[in-house]
Amino acid sequence: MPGIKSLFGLVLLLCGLPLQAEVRLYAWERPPRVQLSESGEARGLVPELVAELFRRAGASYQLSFLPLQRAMRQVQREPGSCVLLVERRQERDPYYSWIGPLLISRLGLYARAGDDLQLASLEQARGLSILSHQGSGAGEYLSSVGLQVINSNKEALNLSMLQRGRARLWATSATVVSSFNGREPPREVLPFLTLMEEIACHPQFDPQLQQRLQAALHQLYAEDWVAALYARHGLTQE
Amino acid sequence: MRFLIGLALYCSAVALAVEPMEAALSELQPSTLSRAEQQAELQWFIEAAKPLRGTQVRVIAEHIPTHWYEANVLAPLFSQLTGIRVIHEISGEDDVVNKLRTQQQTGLPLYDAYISDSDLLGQHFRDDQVLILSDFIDGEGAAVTLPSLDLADFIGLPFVTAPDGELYQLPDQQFANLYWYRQDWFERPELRQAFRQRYGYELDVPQNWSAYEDIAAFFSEQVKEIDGQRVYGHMDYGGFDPSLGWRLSDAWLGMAGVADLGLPNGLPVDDWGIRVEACQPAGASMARGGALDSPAAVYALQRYIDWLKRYAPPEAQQMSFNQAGNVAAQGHIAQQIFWYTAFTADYTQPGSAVVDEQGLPRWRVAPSPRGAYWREGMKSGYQDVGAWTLLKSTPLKQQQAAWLYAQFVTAKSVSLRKTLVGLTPIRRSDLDSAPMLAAAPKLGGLVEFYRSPAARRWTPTGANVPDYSGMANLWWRQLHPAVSGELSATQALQNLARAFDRYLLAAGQRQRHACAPRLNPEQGALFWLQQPGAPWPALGNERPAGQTLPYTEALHAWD
Repeated sequence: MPGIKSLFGLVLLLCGLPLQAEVRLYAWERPPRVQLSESGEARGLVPELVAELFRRAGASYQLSFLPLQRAMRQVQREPGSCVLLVERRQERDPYYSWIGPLLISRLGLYARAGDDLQLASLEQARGLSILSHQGSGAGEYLSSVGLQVINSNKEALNLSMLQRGRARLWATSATVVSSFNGREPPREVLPFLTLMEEIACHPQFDPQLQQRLQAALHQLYAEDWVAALYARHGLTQE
Repeated sequence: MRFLIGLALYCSAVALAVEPMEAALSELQPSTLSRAEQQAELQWFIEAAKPLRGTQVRVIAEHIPTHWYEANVLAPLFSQLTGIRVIHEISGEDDVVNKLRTQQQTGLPLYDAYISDSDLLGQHFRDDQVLILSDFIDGEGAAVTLPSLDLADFIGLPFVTAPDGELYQLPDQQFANLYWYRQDWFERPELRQAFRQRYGYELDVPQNWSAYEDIAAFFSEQVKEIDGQRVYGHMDYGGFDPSLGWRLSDAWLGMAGVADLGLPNGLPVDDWGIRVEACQPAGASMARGGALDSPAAVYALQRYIDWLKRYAPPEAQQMSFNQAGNVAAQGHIAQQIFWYTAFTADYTQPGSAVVDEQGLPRWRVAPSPRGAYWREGMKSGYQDVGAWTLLKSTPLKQQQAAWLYAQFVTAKSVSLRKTLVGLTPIRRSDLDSAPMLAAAPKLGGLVEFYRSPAARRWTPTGANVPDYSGMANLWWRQLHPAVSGELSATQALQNLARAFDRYLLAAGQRQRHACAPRLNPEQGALFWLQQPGAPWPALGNERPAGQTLPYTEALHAWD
């Protein structure tokens, strides 16, 4: 019977291939690292990194855009799908299968350029309102340590609220701040947290594919491929 | 705790407005050093840091009160004194471990130093990526090593010294896992009488798990209410979270008696159920001589699940380590079998339900009760240090600046004040100091524990686990299905043991070290169960008669 077993195995393997072939990736816009071009294509450092990652892992994917919160909910319901990208925190760990990090976020509290606020620690921010992007690890973290957080759907709105004095502080990263080309950019008052941004997949995501993608990513780092990609985009890895 | 830290911060902010040395001397009281010695030590930091002025270092630690005090008060003080800017991040313990692992795997310069538990020591000395501090102190770190560091004064130094005799980490805070109970409730005559009538022995400190369970059932199911409040006889946590792993790996298996006799972790089978031949891990499943799926492990996991569901507050089943840490301080828990002393600060706040009108605790700590498989000569509990960990790949200037900060927050100038705030003692000189002895009555037995010779029988994970940051994830992912009822305790532990064996095999192929894992061939569980020692065969009676001792007698275990 070994012949029949082998044939049966081959059929199973062939049937299985298309199922594994297409990972559905849900990205959210965060120029300049991930953005949607006018022609409807994903552009930026992250889509380029993802393309190379999947090529090396021998997997294919389909990328579309959704708001972050919706993407995170969708992926928890949809096997074979992933969010591109989610800030990884211990509290979120059990709810996804992770591949990363693709980006490193250095988060800080930012004040208006003309605001002379000085902070030596997070404790000194107690009592101040802090703006944050809905679904970001920054807002969740600050809320968890008892600080007063105001969430909004767009970072542009946070910037606008900061500049109009609706809040003294904005919790975000230097990358986000520099993506807005204002004349008087907000000033970093207190760096407080580093977050790794990773591909967050459905918790039952194929473990072998997850391991292949993770191994391919480590190889990209080992070869300095990622560093070269950052250099091509004129960015640093922090 | 927030009030204390807030107050400390306010005082600190006021102090920083004056000259940095004065600010430091004002904040860092009391000290085991005289004022002149303290000033000289702080002046040394100022001088040693001069070549590094303007440097910025980024470090990370887990969120317990000690590290918040460092981040909120000590880091700004250090920056003012030295001109080295410190970004001291606080995050979850698992996040700290993940980031350390990521930095090692990708080379990304996430942090210049980590405060990470000595549980990772077995990985550090096999992987050759962590800076060996004993070499650094004599070499490139000599000029930035505090002459009065006094390594011999650190009580946790054995935990951060690998089998190769080298020092890999510097202790920053130390905590133990002890039994915690409401002494005031245990002393109430009506409760003592009711317990004696029902169980036939005294309501005192439980010496075995049978007595612990009787007391848990007594408060949760018989007493139910004290002074108008619903009370429970047990507290634990069971949420699907990485911290579920160390709930089980730190305490439940070890105190059930899974391991062999011998310190620090059992020889040759340790309290993770891993058999170690010489220094080489040889398997976790019984089939390879391990004990992770042994009857004692099943007994431990089943008791953990049963008691969590039957005796703890219902919400505990969804909680994590940090959420559960100060629950007993709310005043409705009678006892906790494994209580982390890292949370002591939350249990000593004036006005708290567990502190009386004189500011004295209504609770005490004592040695944890032992499970049915436990034998004299096994470890008596878990303790560990959160310790400064630097990587070889970090640039020298960053290493030196981070090393200065690490020594600052552990220096004699600082450590007594830090210990009194965070209650995670690291130095013998602090434990022997007059201010610490004066504080002891308010700390429920914590100081007595650390000053006792028995404290050495409380040990961390040890050096057997060759890849803690990878294997720690297996614990919670493989065992939670037993907590949720999807699998039996036996099935979940068999899955975990097999996963460990696969992991050890892969680590053995990857690590280039004489102590890298080398698996035993599979011989079947029966073969190993018939050999002396762990894995221990199933006991005919896993529930011997309950046994308790009065508090003062129970403390003789610490003699």
